[in-house]
Amino acid sequence: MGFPYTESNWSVVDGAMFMGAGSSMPFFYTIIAIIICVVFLVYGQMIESDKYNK
Amino acid sequence: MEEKIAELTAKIAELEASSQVTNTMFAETYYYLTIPLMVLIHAGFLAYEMGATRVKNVLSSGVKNILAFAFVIPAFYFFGWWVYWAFPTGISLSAGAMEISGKEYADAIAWGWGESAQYMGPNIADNASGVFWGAFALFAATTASIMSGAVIERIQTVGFVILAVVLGAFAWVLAAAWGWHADGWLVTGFGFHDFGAAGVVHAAAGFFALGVLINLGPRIGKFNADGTANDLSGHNMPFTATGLMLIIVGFWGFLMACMILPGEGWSWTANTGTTIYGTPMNLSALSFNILMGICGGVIGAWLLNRDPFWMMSGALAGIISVASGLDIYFPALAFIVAIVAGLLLRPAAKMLEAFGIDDAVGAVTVHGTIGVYGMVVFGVFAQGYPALFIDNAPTVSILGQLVGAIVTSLCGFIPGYLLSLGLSGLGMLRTPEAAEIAGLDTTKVPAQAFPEGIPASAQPAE
Repeated sequence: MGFPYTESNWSVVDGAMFMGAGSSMPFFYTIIAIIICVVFLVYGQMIESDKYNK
Repeated sequence: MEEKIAELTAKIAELEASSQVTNTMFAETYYYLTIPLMVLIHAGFLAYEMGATRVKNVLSSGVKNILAFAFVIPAFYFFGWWVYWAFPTGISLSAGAMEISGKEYADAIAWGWGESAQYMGPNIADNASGVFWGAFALFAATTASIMSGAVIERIQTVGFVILAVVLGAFAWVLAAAWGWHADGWLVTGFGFHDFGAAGVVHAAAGFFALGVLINLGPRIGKFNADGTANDLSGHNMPFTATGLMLIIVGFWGFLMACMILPGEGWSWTANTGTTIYGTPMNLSALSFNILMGICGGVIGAWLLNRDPFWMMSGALAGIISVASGLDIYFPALAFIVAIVAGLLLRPAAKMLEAFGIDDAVGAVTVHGTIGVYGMVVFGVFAQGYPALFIDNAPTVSILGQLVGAIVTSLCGFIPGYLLSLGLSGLGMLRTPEAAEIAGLDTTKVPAQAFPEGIPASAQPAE
């Protein structure tokens, strides 16, 4: 989470600088994003099927 | 004297560093700008498709087009980018001779976690990964848009999104890994050349759409009992024609993104633009041939149709027909090839219709059939051109282009057909008949396209 360098100073940034860089957070963020997409599609299909049945 | 030399040496080093910064920023900005231009392709397809839809279905067509973009981009981030870098040598996932392919390489740069994540997010030392990924992601969105138009007015939204994700993040990517990568086996083994992705994007997407259409079936009322076809006209031809023109504008971004700039660590050369294969080219070549291709396509289509829909489709077909060789065609020859593409358009669409396929906007014809035509014709005229920028490179041949055309088309058709068959079995492909007759907007869109109807013009002020 947060700034990926130990010192809160832009002068030390020399590479990846996104939130959580160098930790396992990118993995969790990615997995959560994939799960959200799948869940939304499943929910969307349920809603759409309901509408067709009406 | 020595002090002077040291001073000049330092000055030269400073100038070299400054020049490199300029080159790097230019390269990053170049690819960045191709992205909004390619979003225009999507805007164009949105307008094109909604205009080609009957008014009772117009907003649902828009919804699915917008959703295709929204789901394909993240899917390409999650796994599509990895597919492009992992598969060039084939299903073995082994590294190729250029050492920029294979599972190990893809694992190192294309996953959003672990060591690879540094290339998949903001990185101050990396001015290339994001813009390259972005350009490719827009190629992916384009393939989904191509399919989107063919299946309007009777496809379920989520089933369509699943098809779009598989096409945009896998099917065309596989074709691109094999035929649009310097380590691609179609290139190294058969000398396949497809500068502007006529095969890997257009034919792959067009034939994916065909696979879907076979299982989706025609719109109600499209075909009569005796097999003759009815014209189910869209509600807004001016919107469709304008959309097609926007696609042409966006194409410039697509095609400029196909060029690899010089002078960077990832460049093929220090001082010449190249194709994705490392063969030399420049934007001047594109300027000549894109314009001649557009115009040839329009003129060829106009000869057999006086319909602006087919004329603008001809413009698209014109570019696609010469896309494989935009880097090396002679402009007048590109013009001729494109005119023939324009002439082929309507007869090819009619032939598809004769097989009972309802392709609402001619996507299979414009992208699939013309994509194949373009790849093979290129093989006729470009025989002997080296396919890679190395000694003893395989050369372009009719056979190589034919093999590439078949493979890229199957990369689209097989997954399109099989996945849509599966979705159909699950009841997720076709909308129910009652919904299709009533109109998809009424069934599932909580908004009205024209709440005031389409009123006559108000009287002008005195």
